[in-house]
Amino acid sequence: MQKPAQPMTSQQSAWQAAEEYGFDMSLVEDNLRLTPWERIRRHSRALAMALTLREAMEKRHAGA
Amino acid sequence: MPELESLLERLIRHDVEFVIVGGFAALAHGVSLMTEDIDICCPFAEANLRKLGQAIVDLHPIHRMTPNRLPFELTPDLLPTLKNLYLRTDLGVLDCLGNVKGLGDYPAVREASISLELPIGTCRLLSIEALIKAKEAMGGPRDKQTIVQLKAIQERTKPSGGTLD
Repeated sequence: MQKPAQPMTSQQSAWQAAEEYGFDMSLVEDNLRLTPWERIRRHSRALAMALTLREAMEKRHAGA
Repeated sequence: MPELESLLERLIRHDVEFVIVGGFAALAHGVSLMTEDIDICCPFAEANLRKLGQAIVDLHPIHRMTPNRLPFELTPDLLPTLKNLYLRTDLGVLDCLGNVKGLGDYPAVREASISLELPIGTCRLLSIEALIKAKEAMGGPRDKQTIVQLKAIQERTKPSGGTLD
C-alpha cells in the first residue's frame, strides 16, 4: 500500500524519496541482488499468480 | 497465461532487431512494479517485420487495438503503412513502437540502449538514464511511480551503463 507522495528535499537521497513515496524498497533491494533474467522469471511467476487471482475474482463476481 | 520471457525468447531466436523499452525494461533494471506486456522499439523495415511475423506466427496474434481484433497478417498493402503494432498473442501482449517519446526513432533508441546477456540469448534494453527520460516524457501516474524507483536504483547502482549480466 502506498502512502501519499511527499515532496523530495534537496538533502534527501533518491532511495529515501522512494521510501517516502510509499514503496517497500526492500523489494527493490531484493531485485537488485538478482540478475536481470532472474528478475524477469520472478516477475513472470508473480504475474501468473496475480492473473489467476484476478480471474478467480472475476468468476466470483460473475456468479454473484 | 502470459509467458513474457517465452515471447522475448522467440524475438531473440528469430533475430528480430529491437530494444526493450517500457515497464519490461524497468523490471529488468530492478523496479518492483508489475507489467503485463512487453514494449519494444524496432525498425519497421520489411525484413525486420517479417522476422517479427515469423516469431509469433503460431501464437494467434491479433491487433488488440482494432475494434474487431483483426488477425495480424503482414500483407503487401499493410507493410509500408505500419508505424506501431499493438498485438495480443498466446504468450502475452507485445507492443512494437517505431518511436519512443522523449528519445526519438529507432536509431536514437538503439543509441540509448545497453546490451543484455540472458540465458536465452542477447538483446538490448534502454539504459536506466534513457528509460527515465522516456518515462518523464510520457508523464502518466504509472510512469511517475516508475521514475521514483528508477532514480533510486540509479543512485544505488552507480556507475551505470555497459552490459547488465
